[in-house]
Amino acid sequence: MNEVTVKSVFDPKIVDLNINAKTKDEVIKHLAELLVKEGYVTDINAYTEDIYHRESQGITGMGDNIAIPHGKSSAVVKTGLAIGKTNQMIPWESYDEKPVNIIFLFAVADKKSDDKTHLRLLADVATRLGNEETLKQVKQAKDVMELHRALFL
Amino acid sequence: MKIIGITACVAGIAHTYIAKEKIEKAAISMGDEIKIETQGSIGPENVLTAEDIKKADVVLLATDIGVDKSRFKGKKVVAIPISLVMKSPKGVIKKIHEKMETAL
Repeated sequence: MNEVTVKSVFDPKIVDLNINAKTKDEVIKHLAELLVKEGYVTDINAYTEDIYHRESQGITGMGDNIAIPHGKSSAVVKTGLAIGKTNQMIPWESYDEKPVNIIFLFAVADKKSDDKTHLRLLADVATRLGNEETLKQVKQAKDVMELHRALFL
Repeated sequence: MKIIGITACVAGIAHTYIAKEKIEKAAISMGDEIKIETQGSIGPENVLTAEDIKKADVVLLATDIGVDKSRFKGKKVVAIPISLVMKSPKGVIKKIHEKMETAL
């Protein structure tokens, strides 16, 4: 079941497209809880601390209502990507100074990792997020399948 | 013109790769050739060769961490924070065009 396949960075169990949150803290906590529940992260407090450490170093709201909080953490045991869509706009430090409603929370282990396969997959997702066409599709995705199609196919 | 460059961000997970995509798209849309080396958590990828560097008109360093610039000795180098590429990739390419024109 835990086979590493090319698409394994996409896990529907850590995707929630119907989040009722009002603040950045609530969204990060909600997605971090999913990561803990599904075995990606061991210690939610240590993990969110590391996320906020990265937040303090620079903006992760990349514009177009999308945020990509991330950071390396020793609390991460499995590389993953939690994806959330909130029902209302969330204030977030962004390059275009607009709030966000789509959040990609990267979980990356804090070690000289031999987990290059997964880092490569995350880099591929990031590359796609630099593409306006993909962003449009991501924003229009109504369910997990459409999101998957926009990001990984 | 021929633009080469490097993207590198603090964590080396996301911005490095997003910025590469954005700046490549912008450069191509404005009629330039471009090759970007990423220095992220995976290690250097799409590495610039001596030949790439020799042929390049300008070197763009969009980096928030220190990178080795000795390879680009004698080249015209434009160094900017990666946030500029994230905010306005076309603006960055435009600025490079302006700089190159005034340099002639």
